[in-house]
Amino acid sequence: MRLGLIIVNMIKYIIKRLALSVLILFGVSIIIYGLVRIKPGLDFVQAKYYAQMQLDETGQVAQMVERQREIYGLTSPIFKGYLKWAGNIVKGQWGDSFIFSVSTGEVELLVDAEGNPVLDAEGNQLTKPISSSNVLDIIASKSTISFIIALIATILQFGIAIPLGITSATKQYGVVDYSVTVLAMMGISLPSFFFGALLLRIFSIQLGWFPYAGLSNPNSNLPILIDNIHHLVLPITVLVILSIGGLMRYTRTNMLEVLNADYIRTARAKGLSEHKVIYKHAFRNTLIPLVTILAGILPGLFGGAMITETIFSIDGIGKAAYKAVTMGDIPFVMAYNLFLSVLTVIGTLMSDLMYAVVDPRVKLVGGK
Amino acid sequence: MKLLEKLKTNQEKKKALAKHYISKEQIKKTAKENSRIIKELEKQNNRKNVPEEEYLTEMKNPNNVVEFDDLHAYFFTDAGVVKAVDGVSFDIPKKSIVGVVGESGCGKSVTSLALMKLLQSPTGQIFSGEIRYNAKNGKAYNISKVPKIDMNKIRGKEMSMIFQEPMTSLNPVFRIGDQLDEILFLHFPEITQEEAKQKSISMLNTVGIAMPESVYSRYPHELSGGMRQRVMIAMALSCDPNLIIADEPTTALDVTIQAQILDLLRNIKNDINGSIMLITHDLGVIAEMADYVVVMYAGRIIEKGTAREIYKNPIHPYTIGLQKSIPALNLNDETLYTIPGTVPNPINLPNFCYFRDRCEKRFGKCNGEYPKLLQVSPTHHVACYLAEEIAAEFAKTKKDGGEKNAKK
Amino acid sequence: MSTLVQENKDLINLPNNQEQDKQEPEVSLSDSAKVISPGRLVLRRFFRSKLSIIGLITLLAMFAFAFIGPLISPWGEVQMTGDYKWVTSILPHQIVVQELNEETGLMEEVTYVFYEVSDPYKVYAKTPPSWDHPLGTDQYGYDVLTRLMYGGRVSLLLGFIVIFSEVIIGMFFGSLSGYFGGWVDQVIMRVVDIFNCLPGLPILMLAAALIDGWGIEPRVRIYYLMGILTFFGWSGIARLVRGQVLGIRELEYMVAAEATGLSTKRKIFKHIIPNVMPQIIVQATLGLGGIILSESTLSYLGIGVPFPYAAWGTMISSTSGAEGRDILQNYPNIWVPAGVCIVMAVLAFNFIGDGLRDAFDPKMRR
Repeated sequence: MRLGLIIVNMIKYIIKRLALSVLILFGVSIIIYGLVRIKPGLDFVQAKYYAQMQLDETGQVAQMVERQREIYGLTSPIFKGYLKWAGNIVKGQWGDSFIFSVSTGEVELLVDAEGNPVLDAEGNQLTKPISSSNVLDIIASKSTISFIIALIATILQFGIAIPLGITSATKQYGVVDYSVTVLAMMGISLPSFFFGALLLRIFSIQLGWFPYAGLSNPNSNLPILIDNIHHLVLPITVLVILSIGGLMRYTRTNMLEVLNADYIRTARAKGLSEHKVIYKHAFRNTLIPLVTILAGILPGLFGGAMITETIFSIDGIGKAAYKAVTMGDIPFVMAYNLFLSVLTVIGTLMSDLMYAVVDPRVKLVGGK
Repeated sequence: MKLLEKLKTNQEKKKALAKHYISKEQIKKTAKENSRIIKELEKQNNRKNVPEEEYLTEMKNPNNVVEFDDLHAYFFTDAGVVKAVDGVSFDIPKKSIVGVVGESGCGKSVTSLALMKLLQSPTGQIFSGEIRYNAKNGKAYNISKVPKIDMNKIRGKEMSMIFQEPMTSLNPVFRIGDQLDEILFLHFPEITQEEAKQKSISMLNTVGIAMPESVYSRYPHELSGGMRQRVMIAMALSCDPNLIIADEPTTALDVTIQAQILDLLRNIKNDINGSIMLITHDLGVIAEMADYVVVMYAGRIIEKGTAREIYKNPIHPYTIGLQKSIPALNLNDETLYTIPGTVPNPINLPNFCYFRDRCEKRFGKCNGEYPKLLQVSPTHHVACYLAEEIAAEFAKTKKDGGEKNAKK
Repeated sequence: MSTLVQENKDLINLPNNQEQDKQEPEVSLSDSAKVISPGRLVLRRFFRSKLSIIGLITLLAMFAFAFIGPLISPWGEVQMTGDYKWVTSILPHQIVVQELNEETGLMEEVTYVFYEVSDPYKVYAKTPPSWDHPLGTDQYGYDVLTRLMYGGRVSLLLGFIVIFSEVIIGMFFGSLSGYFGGWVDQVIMRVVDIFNCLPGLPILMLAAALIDGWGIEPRVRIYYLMGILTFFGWSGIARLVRGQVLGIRELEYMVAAEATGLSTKRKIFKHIIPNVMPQIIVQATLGLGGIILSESTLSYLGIGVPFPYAAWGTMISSTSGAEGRDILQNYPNIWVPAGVCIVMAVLAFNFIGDGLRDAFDPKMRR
């Protein structure tokens, strides 16, 4: 009975939050579309194919351009265009990238002009792999490697930041506290492109300890997994160092707050050792916001790290986005931004739900 | 022209204000001095493997649970040393309730926290004086010398504490049962899970919680303030301590619940084998509950005696004021009495009676140095010039009595 | 009880001592305990942390470097220095010839490598550090140190202008939302939610890249850049201000102000704004570091401060790509100082912001 009520409340809450998320994504998409549409003169599709259209005699390119413009609603005024585009987004037609294409894994049987199968010397029918430029396919294929790297970095980040933050809080104004604070601040203040370049210069070029770029070296005689790890040391170091500071500071602030709470005094009055007070009573309370944060950033890990992936030439979604920006692949950049927003919205939702799971005080009631 | 005047008045205002503010150099000096003292005291506190002999002591009177002897508990802040407790001496006899009364900020809570060694470190420190504690095993400890790590054996098991804020004093993320069992596991390591649960539930029963089994598995936020305070009391009782410190246990509760909790405290005093140190600002509560009363003002004791003496025959104007400010139904007087002014900030207090400026009865002598604690009966002490005559009289009778006794 | 009190009163005849007190201007108790003035308390807490002091000194040094430095420097931002170094190029040539191995008596292929060494010739860029150019010159032949100074100007100025605009906008919408509540709050907060959901760098990149396509002249593009940074950055401040205003509205003195019937304008400007100011100052200081990071990242990507204007990010971007490998490897004097400058500036703002937060927050008081 009671459990039933909780579940009903939970479902109500989730529905309410989902509705809100849709509203937010609606706003996000307006901003993205608006950005693309305020450009004066030729729109981005026309600009992209301008040169080709001048040379085109058969009108094929013009047709293709019109089809593309149709997807983005560029043929209509901005308001109507937005509705068209948003409709396509909902239908799953996010448009085609100008520069990327991936193999879909499917093959197409080759046929000649008369429709007869083309056979090779042994009588097997020849096939051609089908490639897709659909931005959703590209995002799907590229985000896996980004996710793996970001996941490892996040695990390391939490594993290092939480103990350091706690030590820093319990020894406030001590030597550890100061060094942790300085290190954390350094991490926050380092630009990834500079730090990455610095690491490359020192550890890859000068000392030759780590490879210069990529994920694996075909000439390496190391087992593939070890080789991958070898390649990932530097990029993951960059990701961890840059993100660890914030989390460390956050843990510290939270821990300090908890240590001032009345129930910590109660725990001490019970006769618990300082160690137990900190690692049982205080830590459990500090963990609540930390777990919520973790739940919140998990979806975002699919989004990749633009600068770091580019510097270390890792073929993830971040590098793709960077390339898309520099080469003017607006369809991909639009989709990427939208994709990241969706991830953020999911993250917020997950962190709110997680909060209800880990904090016994929070009940999911319809309102909030 | 006007602007000039305005500027001038502004500057004057600033000058006037400057009198109230400490100069930069002064702050720097105090901060430096403070950090030196704190370092030294903390070093003492943080020692490990200290032989027990070092903090063993003798009780003056073996019938006391706790003897405070010239206790000084200070807070070392940038503005100066806050002498929150400045030379306090009183005893807590076995199986008694001792009430400590005073307005907020007069050092009651700090005294109790010093006894538990729970002063907010590193600024809060026991500066000097002894707190002798008569342990269950017959030994007497000097609490002010017990290092932090050894204090854990005394806290919870020998003496426990009930705090003012039941709403925030229980850890929100653990179930009531876990928090109750924890203290049992800690001090009786051989106890089993089942036994601990049994004991905890029976404790909850003792403090008058209906359906203790259900409360056992609940989270603190699911209980009302009164219920939580009962849980806190159950927790304090569970190791059968020698002394329970109740720091304003009813202040944060509804009036009806207050009476229930006080009743409960009175009842458990009969059940347990220990004493209660009851801290409150309500002399009425004390009158109902306590055997002995200590009245504190600005970090010092200004009057102490049996409850009867303090209630029937208060001498210090502050005690009288406190008593008059208890709301009573049978009084015709419409307005409730209030003591004018507030407790002074106990930094650099000058050497005269701290209550002088608020006192209705001050006279010439009051401008002299801080009055000594005078004995006016075998159990009654007052720090006030008003009591000099009574004290002299008592000293005479005592002397006479002594002589008489001697003659016999 | 009252009889006893009465007795006591009779027992000790109390003189009225009011007069006496006036004659004796001794320190009263309220005067005896001096307190630390609020302003000093903040300063004291700020300067307690050595990091805040380091931050402040660094920042002042950066300002001097960026704004006074160019006046002293003999070189301009886009002035070819005409400095050169002598370079000899070495071109390897391989020749494979058939030769008789005297031991075996067989003809074998032997590879000879010849190096064709050119005559020394002048190169007007990438000169190494010298007296004239303490940090050398870059790939365009500009003086690196001078470019650093101008880059600092752009970064610091842009940072301050952007944060100022963000604070104005954020404070306007935040206080509106917090003060009026109801549907105003709902609408503004949903918009803030939307902005918070936008991905930070990618959306900046999209906007900057789109504007890149407009073909605006470099001078004007800096202003567009400021506009973009402000547009996507104000929501954080708005949310902070709203929270603070909501908190303050609940406080007793605000309820009192309400009761006395103060005008809305007076309430907001006299009572609310001064009280949210500390939080905003802290947020703005920390935000400044973030803006400098964003700006330098965009510049690094080539869509920020446009060439030929100097920017720290641009100077580091010379290391990217295949053609940058040479600079990355052999000319750290071109890009490392710029990175150090970014780190120092951002670090200084973070240290100061952190120090201010501790100083303003009474909870952290020791």
